[in-house]
Amino acid sequence: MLTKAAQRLAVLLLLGAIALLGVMGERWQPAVDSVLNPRVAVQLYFADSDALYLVPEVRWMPARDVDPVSVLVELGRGPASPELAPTIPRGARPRSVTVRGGVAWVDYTAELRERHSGGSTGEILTVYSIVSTLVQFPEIEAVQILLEGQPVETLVGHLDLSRPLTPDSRFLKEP
Amino acid sequence: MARGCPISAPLLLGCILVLLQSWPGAAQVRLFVEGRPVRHEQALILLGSGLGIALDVVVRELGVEVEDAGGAAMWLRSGERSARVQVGTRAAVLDGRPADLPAAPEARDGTVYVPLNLVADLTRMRVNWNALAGVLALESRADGAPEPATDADRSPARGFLRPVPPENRPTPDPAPPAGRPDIAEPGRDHRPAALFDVRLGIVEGRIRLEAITDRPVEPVVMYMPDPDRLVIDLPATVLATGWQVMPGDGTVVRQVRVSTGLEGEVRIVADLTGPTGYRLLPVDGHPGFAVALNHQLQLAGLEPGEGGILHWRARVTGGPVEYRAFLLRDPLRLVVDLLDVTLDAPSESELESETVSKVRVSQFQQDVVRVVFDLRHPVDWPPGGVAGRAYPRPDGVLDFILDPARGLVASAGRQAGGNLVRFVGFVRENGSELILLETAEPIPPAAPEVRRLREPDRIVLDLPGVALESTLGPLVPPDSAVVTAVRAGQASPDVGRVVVETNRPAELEVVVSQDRTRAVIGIGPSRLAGRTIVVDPGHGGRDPGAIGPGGTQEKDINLAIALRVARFLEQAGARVVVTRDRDVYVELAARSRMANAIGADAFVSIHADAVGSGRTASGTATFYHPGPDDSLEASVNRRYAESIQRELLRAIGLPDRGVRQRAYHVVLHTEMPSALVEVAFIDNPAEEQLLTDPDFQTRAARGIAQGILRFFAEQRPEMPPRERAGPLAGAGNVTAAFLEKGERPAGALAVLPVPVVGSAAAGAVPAQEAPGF
Repeated sequence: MLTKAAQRLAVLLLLGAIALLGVMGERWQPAVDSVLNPRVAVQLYFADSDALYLVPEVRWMPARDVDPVSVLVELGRGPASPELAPTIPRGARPRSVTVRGGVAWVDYTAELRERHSGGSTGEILTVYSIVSTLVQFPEIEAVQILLEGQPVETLVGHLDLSRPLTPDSRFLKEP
Repeated sequence: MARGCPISAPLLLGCILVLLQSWPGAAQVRLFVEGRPVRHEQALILLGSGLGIALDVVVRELGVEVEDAGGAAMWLRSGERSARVQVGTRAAVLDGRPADLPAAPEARDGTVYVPLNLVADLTRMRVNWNALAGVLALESRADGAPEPATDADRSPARGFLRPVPPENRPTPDPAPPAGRPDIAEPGRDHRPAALFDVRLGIVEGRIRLEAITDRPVEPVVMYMPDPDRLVIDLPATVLATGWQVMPGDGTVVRQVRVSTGLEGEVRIVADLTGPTGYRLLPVDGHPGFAVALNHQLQLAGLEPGEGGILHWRARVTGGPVEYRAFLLRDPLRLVVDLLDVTLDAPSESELESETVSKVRVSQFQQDVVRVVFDLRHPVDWPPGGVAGRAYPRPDGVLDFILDPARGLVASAGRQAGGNLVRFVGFVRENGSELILLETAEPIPPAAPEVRRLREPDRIVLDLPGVALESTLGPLVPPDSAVVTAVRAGQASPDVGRVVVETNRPAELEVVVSQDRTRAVIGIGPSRLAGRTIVVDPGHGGRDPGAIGPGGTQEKDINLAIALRVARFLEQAGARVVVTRDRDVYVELAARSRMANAIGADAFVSIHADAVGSGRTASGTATFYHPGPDDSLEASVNRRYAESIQRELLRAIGLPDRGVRQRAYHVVLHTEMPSALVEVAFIDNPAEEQLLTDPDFQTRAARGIAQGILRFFAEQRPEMPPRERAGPLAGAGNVTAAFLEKGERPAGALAVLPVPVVGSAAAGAVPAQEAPGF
């Protein structure tokens, strides 16, 4: 038979253990999650401050979410770094990406053109940020951009988009 | 979304054909074999009512063996299957049996095209068509369902090839002469011409309609009344314009419409404000043609005055109007022929005048309106008559005064008062031939406006707001190398004109004194003689390009600068074609096709840049794409772009963003030295301001033109250095003294007034022979 004091102590210990477990659990949860659902580093390409080059920014995304469309959605959200500038006009969404024979057919909504600021520099940054970001997928070698399901001659009047584009390292600058 | 779906052959074919027809060209369809894109200039074409595939693609991508079968015939073999086909005939042999191809194989552009259906059948491949992506994919039927190759499978319902009943079997073509079939020899070129644009302009006072095509066409021009219109049919031509209706000038042409006819012709219709004659003219610089429209003329009244004076007045749609006046006898009458004019309705009026009893007006020839004054008394008249130019008054009325004392006086082309020309002269300094010009008041900032004309080669300098007291010249300078004559006169009531005739295509350079009352114009042999340069103002029409924070649209800036570049290049002796001369949409492909078809020697595309996303940048960049045979360093296109960038930076002084290689459409698809210039950033407020400034536009244009000029001059080391440096290279102290202090050089030859013969009309020239009738 335990004394009343001993009983109290036992209750306190029990409560403490539960509280500790709770705190530990909160700490462990991400680690557990990372085992169950690992995150991977994806490079998103944004414009540098001189609008001369594309610079990659690393974004950690849950591996199960990493597919071409969700990566393009992430690209559309813009950079975290204030040094960099977004390349996708606000409101432009990827409708679908179909990969066939190394070529990704990327279908964007019309805002990609309609909300684009124009200019060949702006066009290069937009188009090649999409190309450079997508070719991280091993199955993608070239990218063909469609608007609302239709092939286009150009985005805003400079680049030839009637054929698939391959990545071009001249537009890239490593940070 | 972009998934191919196997569908039945007729449906597939129909689907493809509809797409091919609704799209600008078959080039839009890309061919994939086993998922790989096929790199080929033109892998697929329309063949008969179906599709044809290039034989080299069949060999390379599909592993089909091709064997010469003599004549224009050949064997195609794939595995155990074979087909014997012949260029130009649908008769074929498939697996040893006669067969009828859906279309005859054809040799085009050095390649033989065979029906796609035949090839798919031979190779047992499946044709997938992705309409959204414009992709045609050939894939092997290796998916466990081997296609039986029995005759039943090639029944009309399923197969591509119809077995031919013996009685309908085409007789084999007689064997062509022995010798290797020349598959590489292109067949007769059946490709239709393309109409890129129709331009409206005023050349020497007359409205001119200019059609730009990629090859010579044979226009059929008809005037049709009710409503008045000019119909121009271009047989075997396709429409490549970015518009269907274009507004006219408002005085003669209400609008211009283009459409495609039922028989593959393009029809251009110019809706006119009244009956209008025309003349078909060849053009310089591109294979198209021009139609010059007459002035329309309406009688505006007869007014007898005192002392036997008679005013004859008519309203015209432009001017000046050239006329010839001469006397005919029995009965005695004065005939005035007005050239390049169409009359709305003939008329005849009896008069109570002392001099004239009757006036008759009629359309004497298609382009000549004849006014006949029946005279009551003999008048003193120069033998052979007089000829001259009559200028409409500001209200558009031509005024001829028949004065027994003075002869025939046409409305004079001079404004009362205004800025008078004081001196036009010619001088030579250090071998440079210079025209000196002095006016009483400053000339406007854009003056002199310069145009070059051919046959004979001459340079026209127009001075708005300037008048001459009398017609000057011609002065024929002795021992000059280039300048053969200098003359001056009134172009219109408010425009003075100096004309410099040269013995070869020449170029000029102008310097104007600080107070803008004196100008020195250097004339030298053209450094761009015989060159054709295409200037491409970026964007246009429904594509505004980038838009600045102040609302400036890039397309307007591009056009303003490009038209100035075109003018500077013309002054330097080049033939210049612009891809658009107004705010109109032009596809990128049409721009490069225009330059390629014309056989241009150089191409320059003018743009203003933007970054977007709230950011901006600053400076000038020029882009090029190396040609197929170029190494990067030795690229002609790079040297061309560098020359433009260097001179442009020198002219406008913005930050240098460099000469860069970019696969922009117009530099990628043009077959001559080509560059795309981003003059400045329109989304940068400071640079937007600059871009809208006409002075900046002129400086930028001069820099771009200078860069092109330098590029060509450097390619001609045989040219003496002074000539390579430009027509003002020899100008020195004498020129400077004239410009700065107004000292007319001692050796300068003045261009003197012409003695007026038989007429008090300004602008009259010595009498020409009257027409022989």
